[in-house]
Amino acid sequence: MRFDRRLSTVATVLLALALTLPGCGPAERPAAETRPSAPEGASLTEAQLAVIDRAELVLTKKCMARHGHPYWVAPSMRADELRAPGYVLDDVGWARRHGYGGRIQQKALATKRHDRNIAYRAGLSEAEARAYVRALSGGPGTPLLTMPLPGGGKVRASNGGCEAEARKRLYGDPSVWFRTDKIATNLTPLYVPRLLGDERFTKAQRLWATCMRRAGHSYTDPTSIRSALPRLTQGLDAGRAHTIEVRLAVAEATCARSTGFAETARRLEREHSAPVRARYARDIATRDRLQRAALTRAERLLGA
Amino acid sequence: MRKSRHLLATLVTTAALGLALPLPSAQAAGSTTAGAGCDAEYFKYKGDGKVRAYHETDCRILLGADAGDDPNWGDGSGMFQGGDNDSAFSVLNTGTYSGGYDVVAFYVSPDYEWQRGGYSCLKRSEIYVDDLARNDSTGGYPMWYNISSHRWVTASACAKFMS
Repeated sequence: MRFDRRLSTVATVLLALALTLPGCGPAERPAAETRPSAPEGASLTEAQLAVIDRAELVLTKKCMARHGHPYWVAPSMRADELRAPGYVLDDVGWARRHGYGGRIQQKALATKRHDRNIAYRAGLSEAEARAYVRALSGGPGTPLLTMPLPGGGKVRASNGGCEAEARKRLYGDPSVWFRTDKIATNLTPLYVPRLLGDERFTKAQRLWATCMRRAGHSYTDPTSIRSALPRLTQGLDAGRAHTIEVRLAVAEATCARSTGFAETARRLEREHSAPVRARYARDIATRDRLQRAALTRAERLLGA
Repeated sequence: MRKSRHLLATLVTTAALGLALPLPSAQAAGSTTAGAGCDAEYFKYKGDGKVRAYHETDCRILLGADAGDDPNWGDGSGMFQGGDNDSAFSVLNTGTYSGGYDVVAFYVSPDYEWQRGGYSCLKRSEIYVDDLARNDSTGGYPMWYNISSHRWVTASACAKFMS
């Protein structure tokens, strides 16, 4: 390969770090059990976000029924399965149960293979499929929502059909929700580079790496482990592969705790993201308010 | 694999420029005329559970479609094979919810090896990327003609999303 491995590694590490701060991008949120409602200012847990997702599917199903199409609501994952490992694991218990989540992903893919919506759609004629898609997302000619991102680039989203109707019932004005959510979840490019030069981070990571080496695992950073996993488990049966995954994940989490690396990473991310979040505070607050309102509506709808 | 060296410190530069950018336009909603080919593909395949990759911009010349993962676009197995490696210039996500595993992570290297070159993700709700030249990986490398593997993940597993 001709690319600069060092640059790639460092940038990947620090972008992935963004996973540790709740409410700031695609965050790793505590997989706490669903609370009845989210307090003001608190980020929603993965479980709470899953409640909103489920309500969106239920609303979509009701809408599709009005259009004469069946629609199946996918089974929910357990709260414990909704977590992503984040940049560095520090929950030893979760690591012991799930490793890096490899089995969870396999379970999701297995569920997808039996997705009745996919099977139903596959059995439709071309004309029927067009009608199905039109009911689901609006069909050709439906304007898309577009939004420039704070760090550059532009994203789009479908804004028609039953899916859009469901989102509107949960979040209100689609354009406001889309705009503020895209801002709130795309801020990492604006502050992550500042972490690149922060010696407190690199020092903490070196301590973690030393701890890992003493535990028999020579990796300079957590991403090196995730990156090596496919190779380490290639050709092994599922049980043996899981054992290796768990062993590394437990070591990573144990060292992250004992050296304080995870806590340092979280603290530094809060510090570096604060000015950026302050700049977009109004949009973030709007997005959080809409999301909390959506959770309340979702809980009411689902009778949670 | 091509894996051409990108501009030095692309990520840093991009982000630094980002710091100087004005607030994004508050007028988010509106129709788009770009990506007419991808629009058509989206409405053709919406809800079929698959990710698609195309050799040219605007979802032209289909390379392959996959409802599952493919750890190596350059080998002889999976839905993307041989010449598909490092050949995608646009991508489309018409997946289903699937318990939240509805985001596609595209990797610069085979075997989802995100330390080598990085990755970038496409959410189901954000539909398609009609021109990968706009996008870099988490490692600061271009995504166009540079994808070697993909897998379905949750949004919280992604640190960078395509636009």
